[in-house]
Amino acid sequence: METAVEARGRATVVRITGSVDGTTADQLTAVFTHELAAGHTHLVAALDGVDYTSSAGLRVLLGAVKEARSAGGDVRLAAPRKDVLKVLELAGFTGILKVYGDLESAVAGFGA
Amino acid sequence: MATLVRPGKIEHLMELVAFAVEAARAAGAGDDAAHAVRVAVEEVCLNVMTHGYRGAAGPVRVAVERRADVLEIRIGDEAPLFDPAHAPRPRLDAPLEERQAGGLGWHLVREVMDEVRHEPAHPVGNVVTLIKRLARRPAAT
Repeated sequence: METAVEARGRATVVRITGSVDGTTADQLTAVFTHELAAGHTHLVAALDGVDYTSSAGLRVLLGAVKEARSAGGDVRLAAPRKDVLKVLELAGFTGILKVYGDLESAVAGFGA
Repeated sequence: MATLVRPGKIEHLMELVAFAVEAARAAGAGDDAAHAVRVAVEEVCLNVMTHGYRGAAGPVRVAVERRADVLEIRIGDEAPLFDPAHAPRPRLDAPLEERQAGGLGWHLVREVMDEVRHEPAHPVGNVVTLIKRLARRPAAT
């Protein structure tokens, strides 16, 4: 798994590529923790490059979105692939996280 | 039957998962079934490694077999007895602040598989059997 972070308007985009699983989830947690500690609470996880997630990835997202919302921000998801969306749906995450079909919409959701 | 045994350490997790997915595909699993196998085998093996062995490195054994239209995956360990039926059930309709991470893994396993069975191994350990029904193979001509 690889990540890249970029500022887009009010949002900070975390682009994730590869597999979010039991061996890579801690690495992703560290990225979100770092951004939140820096005051970047309006986060978009760009998931179009993620081919797989297990509950390890769900735990990362759950922790990050709780922390972001308690700081007045949010973590929003952009462009999950079919298999990733299925796992999000099975875990009931599509009811608690905002999921957008593409990155532009997710970024625009935070306002200019 | 395709079988792989590795120490229950996280550095072997993806090898066990990849083995199961490859064996499932060789047995005729399509994309959706292969994804289900990937999720379920990772969750069960990771649970054995982190909660069962707690860092000790007992063996994890993954066996994949197709019987008629059913894919059967057995995951064996020598960890303390744990029946996944006793795993906490996540409250999927709870608001965010009340959502807990515990139990999500076993929840996914139950959702992506058609059946999940547990039995004690002898003299110690567990065997979790995952059942996935596959599309019927075309009749031989």
